[in-house]
Amino acid sequence: MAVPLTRGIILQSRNLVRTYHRGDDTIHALDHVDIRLERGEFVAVAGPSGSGKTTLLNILGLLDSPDEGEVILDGREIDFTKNRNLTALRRRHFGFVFQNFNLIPVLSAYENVEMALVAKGMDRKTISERSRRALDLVGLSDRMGHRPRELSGGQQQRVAVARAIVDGPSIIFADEPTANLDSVTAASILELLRSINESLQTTIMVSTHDPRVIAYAARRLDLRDGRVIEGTEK
Amino acid sequence: MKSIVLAWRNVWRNTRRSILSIGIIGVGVAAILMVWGFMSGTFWGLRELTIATGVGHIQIGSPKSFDPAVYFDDPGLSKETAGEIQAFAEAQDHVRFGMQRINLEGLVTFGRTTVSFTGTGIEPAKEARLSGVFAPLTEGENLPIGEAEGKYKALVAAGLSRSLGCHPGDTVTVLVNMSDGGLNALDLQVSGIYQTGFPETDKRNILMSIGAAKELLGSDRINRIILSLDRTELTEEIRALIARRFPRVEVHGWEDLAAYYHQVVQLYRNMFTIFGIIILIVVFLSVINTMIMSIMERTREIGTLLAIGVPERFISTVFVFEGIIIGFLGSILGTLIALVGSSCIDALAIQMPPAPGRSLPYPLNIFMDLPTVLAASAAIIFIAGVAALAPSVKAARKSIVDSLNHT
Repeated sequence: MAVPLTRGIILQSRNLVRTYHRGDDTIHALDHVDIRLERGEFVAVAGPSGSGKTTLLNILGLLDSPDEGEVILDGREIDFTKNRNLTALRRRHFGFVFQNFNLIPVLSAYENVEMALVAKGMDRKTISERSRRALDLVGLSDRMGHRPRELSGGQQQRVAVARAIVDGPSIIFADEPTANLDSVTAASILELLRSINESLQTTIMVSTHDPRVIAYAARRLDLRDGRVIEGTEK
Repeated sequence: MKSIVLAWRNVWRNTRRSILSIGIIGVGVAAILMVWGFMSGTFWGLRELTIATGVGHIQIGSPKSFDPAVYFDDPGLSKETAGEIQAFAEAQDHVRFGMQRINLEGLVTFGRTTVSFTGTGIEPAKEARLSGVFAPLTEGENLPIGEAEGKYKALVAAGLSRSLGCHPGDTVTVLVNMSDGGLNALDLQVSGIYQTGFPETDKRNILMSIGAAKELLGSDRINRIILSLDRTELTEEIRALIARRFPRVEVHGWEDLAAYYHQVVQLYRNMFTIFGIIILIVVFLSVINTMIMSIMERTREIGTLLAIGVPERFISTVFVFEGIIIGFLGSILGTLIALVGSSCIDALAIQMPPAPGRSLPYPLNIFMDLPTVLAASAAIIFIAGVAALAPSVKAARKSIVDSLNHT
């Protein structure tokens, strides 16, 4: 179903609800969350642990489905019942950066980046060009053949960023991307994300509870107990 | 290609576990190949033993004479017909030689003991060429190649010699019904004691020269022409050729006349089927265990791949290739083990105890051939792939969030 959107909005949620059950307890991870992401935005989702940041990113990133509510991507409501469609949409529109880097240890930096293009049906040359360009962009053109264990934490996260941007996604979801990095390395990763945001106009949504990360974002969304309590334009 | 490379590297992520799985599969493949090789060797030995202990490759007789009910009432082939058939057969390629036999039965007396016997008149020199290796004499000497009329000799089967109490050098008297209905008796000097390989036959059998048999029966008709070939595999081809040329006689290959051989083959095949299924189950469980462990360790990676848009099918394919690689390497290892094992066994020249219903040991041979190796390997690789498929499909369908949060 096509839904009319405000000009510039790429992703929107309406009344997102997600609850978990642990024994007799019901946890409201998301409680009627409405948000809008505009093209080219750098948004930080802030909040303490358990506030629902990761759940929000997972649902907006089509990794998880809501119990209630809608997600609208590029004007189209997402049908969460069709798993194959979700995979295709993620592949076409999104990039992901994880807290633990989540690289495949048996693959080199180059091969990890290339893996994101595995189902694109591209020829070898295009795959190679894009992968090399992405690694070049994150400053790792001299580490292409290195496996993750041969790279520092910061370099691994750069490979993860290269993997996220290799196919030119509309949005990058980064879930606590600097949580396992020292402050200097974390800053360099955030600089990298900001430069990608500025140069490629890629929308970036970062979840964090670190004020230094929030400082890099153009807008912050505060979550408490699954509800958006504040949205701040910087 | 990408999935094969990834699968190969994943196999060696946990070297110890993979080597253990490959080792289990290798032992399984070696067991399959060696048991099959043992069976093939046994079949071959039994086949050649069956042929050499009297059946020959091809037998030719008068119509209906192969029916056990008329075995001793068979009028036989005339001397001229038998000669013509034998000459034609011996002119064919791969026919080593032909020989004639006469069947008879009657009573045999030694001292105060008289028992019934079944006998065969044979051409000693040719019979020795056919059965010299597989029907050894236990005492005395073989029948002489030529013997003077009236001084006939006999080979007495071991069981019958015990019943009579006769030994080489003794003279036994045989009494038979002649072809014209009269009775005839003949003294035969025991030249040797032999084993047929079949305890039941050993109790009743006497071999004598074809001349002695003709004199006893007062007839020169022939009951059987036996052909020996230089290649057992050509039996049917040559049998069909002779049958077409002489449609009024019965021509049978050794397989028609070796019921015991078929019983043993069937028994062994049934045993092998059960054994093979057990081995395949062990391989299946081994690979599935390896894959489940591997999938559990890599759950987060699976979640990551799914998150970045890698299709479920690709992920399942990688795991299936891992199973196939493990199965393939296990097959190579198993083939090597089987080759070394069979070479050692061949070098030791081990003799197996007699098969049920037989009294002669036979050599333990392990036959290995490429088609068997390929078939066993293909079965193992297929099972390994299938074993990897089920858990990998399940893993690829797991919730991405659960996979990413897996610790």
